[in-house]
Amino acid sequence: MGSSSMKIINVAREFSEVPFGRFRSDSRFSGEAFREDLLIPNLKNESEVEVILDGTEGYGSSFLEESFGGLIRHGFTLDELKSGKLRITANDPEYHVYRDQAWAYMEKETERSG
Amino acid sequence: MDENWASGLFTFFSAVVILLAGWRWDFILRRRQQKSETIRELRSLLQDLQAQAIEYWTVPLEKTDNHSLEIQARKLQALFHLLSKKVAQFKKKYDAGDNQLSPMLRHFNHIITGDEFGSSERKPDLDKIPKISSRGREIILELERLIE
Repeated sequence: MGSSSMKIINVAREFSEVPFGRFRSDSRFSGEAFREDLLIPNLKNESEVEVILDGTEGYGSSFLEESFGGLIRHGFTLDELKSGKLRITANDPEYHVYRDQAWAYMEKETERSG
Repeated sequence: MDENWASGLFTFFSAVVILLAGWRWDFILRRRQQKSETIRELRSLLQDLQAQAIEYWTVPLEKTDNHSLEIQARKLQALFHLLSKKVAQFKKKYDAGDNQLSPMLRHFNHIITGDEFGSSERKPDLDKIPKISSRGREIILELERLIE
């Protein structure tokens, strides 16, 4: 069990302003790299993780699917993530679409694997 | 004397009414013009996005190279982000909160930048052509409906 702290991951500051691609073979700042290097380690070590999407040059769906849908493929459940373990924040309205897509991919992967 | 005063007052109020009506008419015309310009700008952006997306998803791997493909993909991602920004501004300006735009944008982004998007091994996917065309058209129709 992790500590009771909360980790805030600002994608633009801590990962890249230009996240791109699904796998590491596509880009250094791919969905796979984000999930493996930042998301999963923090979800394992912290009680809550907040991901701030604002500030980047947008997100491709392949990045979002691999990052967030990939969490379900790697053993996390939608229920635990939705119960407060993971928060995805989009302050500027143009990022709302990416936030909604991220949750939709987790739901879709849960349905697919269920 | 009283008659002149009443006549002057009538003329004055008539002038005020005509001025207000003219101002209101001008306001309506300007607003309609602004809406048309906004729609024209969004339509042009969407058409550009559709054309580039169709090109990206149809060019065979042997007719391109990894570098060109990556440049095209990054352009597409940036163009969609610009569209999302413009639509957010549109929704704020026209107070268009409750509508189908959000799910439509989500679906559109999924079609143009999902699956093998960004991969050097992405295979051409001709099934995306009708989807890109119809989803883009649906977004324009929804925008037009919202400002009617």
